[in-house]
Amino acid sequence: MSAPDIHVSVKELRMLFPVKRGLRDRVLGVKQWVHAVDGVSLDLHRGECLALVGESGSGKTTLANCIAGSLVPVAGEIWLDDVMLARAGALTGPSARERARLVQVIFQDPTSALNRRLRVGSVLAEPFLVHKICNRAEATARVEALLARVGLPPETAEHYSHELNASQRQRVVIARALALEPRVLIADEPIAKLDVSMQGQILNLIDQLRRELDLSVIFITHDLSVVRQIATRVAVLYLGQLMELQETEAFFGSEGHPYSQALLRSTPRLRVTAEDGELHTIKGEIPSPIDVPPGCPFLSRCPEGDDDCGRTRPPLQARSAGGLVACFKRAAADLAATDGAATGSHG
Amino acid sequence: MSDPLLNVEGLTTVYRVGGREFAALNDVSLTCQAGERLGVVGESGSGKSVLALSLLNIIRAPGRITAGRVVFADQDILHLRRRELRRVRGGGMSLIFQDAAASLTPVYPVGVQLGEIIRTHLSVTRAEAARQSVQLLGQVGIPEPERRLRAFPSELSGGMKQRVAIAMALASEPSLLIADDPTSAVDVTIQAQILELLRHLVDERQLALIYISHDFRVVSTICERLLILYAGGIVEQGDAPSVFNAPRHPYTDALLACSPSVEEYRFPFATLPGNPPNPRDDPIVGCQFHPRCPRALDVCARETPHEESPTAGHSYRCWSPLDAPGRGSSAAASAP
Ligand SMILES: Nc1ncnc2c1ncn2[C@@H]1O[C@H](COP(=O)(O)OP(=O)(O)OP(=O)(O)O)[C@@H](O)[C@H]1O
Ligand SMILES: Nc1ncnc2c1ncn2[C@@H]1O[C@H](COP(=O)(O)OP(=O)(O)O)[C@@H](O)[C@H]1O
Ligand code: SF4
Ligand code: SF4
Ligand SMILES: [Mg+2]
Ligand SMILES: [Mg+2]
Repeated sequence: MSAPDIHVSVKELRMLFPVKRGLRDRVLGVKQWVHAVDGVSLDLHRGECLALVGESGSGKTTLANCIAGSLVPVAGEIWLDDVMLARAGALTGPSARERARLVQVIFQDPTSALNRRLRVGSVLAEPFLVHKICNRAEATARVEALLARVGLPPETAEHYSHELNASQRQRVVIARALALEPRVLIADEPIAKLDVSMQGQILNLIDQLRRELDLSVIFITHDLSVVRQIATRVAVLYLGQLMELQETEAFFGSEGHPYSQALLRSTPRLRVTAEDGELHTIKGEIPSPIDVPPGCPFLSRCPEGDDDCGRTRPPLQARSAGGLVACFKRAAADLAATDGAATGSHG
Repeated sequence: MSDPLLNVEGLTTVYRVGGREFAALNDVSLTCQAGERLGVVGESGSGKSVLALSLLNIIRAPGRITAGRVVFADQDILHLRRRELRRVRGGGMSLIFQDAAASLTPVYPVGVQLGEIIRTHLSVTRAEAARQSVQLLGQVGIPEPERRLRAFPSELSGGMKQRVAIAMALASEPSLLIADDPTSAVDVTIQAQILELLRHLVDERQLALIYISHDFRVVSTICERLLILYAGGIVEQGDAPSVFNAPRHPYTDALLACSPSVEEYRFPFATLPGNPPNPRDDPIVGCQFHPRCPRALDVCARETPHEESPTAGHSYRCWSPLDAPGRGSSAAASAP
């Protein structure tokens, strides 16, 4: 297999937010932090669709915002090709304007993303005018081309966003993100607010754009059924830490991280009768990212965890079957398998 | 068969939008037996929430119920006086709203809100209500229920709020629980927990359940009979296996095809082109689905299809239904 063409590289990224403190804490001088992204390293390959999954609060949006340059990381580095975009405490390299032409983010809620008082045509012309790419007259033609790209008829330019349905609105949001011809597109739960009947259109569109425009895409979601169809690789985040990074087929076909498995089992699937197969659940909720325990972050909910898992953080390790997993049990199983029948366990 | 717990006939609810009235719910008839778990599936705007509100007769202006009957436990819901209605709403039929915030008031701790419901319905002392509140919170899977009684809704996660909303719906000891898409705002992990919880509670208390969602996958984990709503009308209803294995209505078929699957790779996604009817536009004559339907005939744009029920436990409204499965589907053979 040829070495992957790395487009964006995230290295040991940390993003903390100060917790809003009450009077007592201020008097006592207690300083607490939300560990939103807690030491994440991962690469985005050129032209791929990397799915970023995890429950809400796991740090997906924060990671996206760091890559887009709307947040300044506390530690770590972000590289795009050979340009450093950010390091601890500073955005580096391109100006905000240049950055907008490299990385664009589309958010979950197309309704709040669009100005109600502007016609779609003006919404889409704005990036061209702000970035002084062309004059107003030329912008009209460009807007038409953008609308065609996302499968909307030219008349859409005359409409206000509230006259469109949710799927059409999300297309407009995508069109606006494409205006500056970015190289990296981050889609943050772009279908979470859409009906199942509308989701397919947007997913097909994102996939088509990725291939036609050679975009590198980070697709954020918590629905693994969608991941199976659209992603080339899957990154699983929990409490701001990377639990697993895996090729899509292997992710769905092998015994991955216990958290990945819990997500998979919770994903709804069509059942012919309600008695058709047990409904698997995972206990509890994602814990507070303020006091992150020293050991494995998933220990409090893990069906396989034991006391050993609570001592140190499991490192992200290559699996014998490919991919990376941060779990003591999986690492031990791999080791036992490679040791073969000889001793059976590690010393 | 005994009388159904809930019997709805010709229910029609209209809203006035931009100077004209449109039927958000149009001539809906359905039944729900005691202990039955009925799923309602439809796209956004199809009338799912309007149906839930209409069943409880709590439609507010600019909407009003213009026709139909809702008979619940032998009471004519649409003609009850306000006081009697409140009793029914509590004691017989409870609603879990789509948005947990709609069930909870932000300004009171959840224990106060829960205790209040228990005291109005069971006329017990304050202490007894508090005891039962703790018990209920425990039953809906809230850890440390005594402590949570003092929590304000804003201090709870989305999943916990929805659990409290479920506890509040159960507090009045209903025999029918209506859940309006209670998991649309939570993660898949919490969704699975809530489905499991509802499944357990409904079994244990032998409640009837009407579970509303836009996602076939979700209703399929909990319901035994399904009802598909399109533009305010029921286009198909039947036993879950029959609807899943052999949908007869083209809309049901298209919706099922759109359901993403975690078990297989099927890219590109099937899509359903076009939009549901917009209340601002002129009303559609004939079958409401005809502008989007791949099987439409000329008659579809002229006349509303009648309800057909060739096999017991499965009916649809369509002039050109999909084929029934070849094997053992003869209506004559199964007719008594
Ligand atoms: N208060 C209201 N005023 C005007 N129209 C309303 C009102 N409530 C509902 N409607 C209309 O009635 C129709 C059905 O709405 P309803 O809320 O029942 O949809 P739904 O199926 O619950 O959708 P969702 O999946 O988005 O919750 C829609 O066209 C909606 O715009
Ligand atoms: N601006 C902020 N200030 C304080 N905490 C934040 C901020 N943004 C995110 N967080 C916290 O960081 C964690 C990760 O959030 P987020 O990146 O939004 O996760 P996700 O997108 O996976 O749901 C959460 O606990 C969230 O509350
Ligand atoms: S390290 Fe232990 S607690 Fe963490 S996921 Fe693996 S088995 Fe579970
Ligand atoms: S009645 Fe006609 S338009 Fe309506 S669903 Fe059937 S075939 Fe399609
Ligand atoms: Mg997010
Ligand atoms: Mg609704």
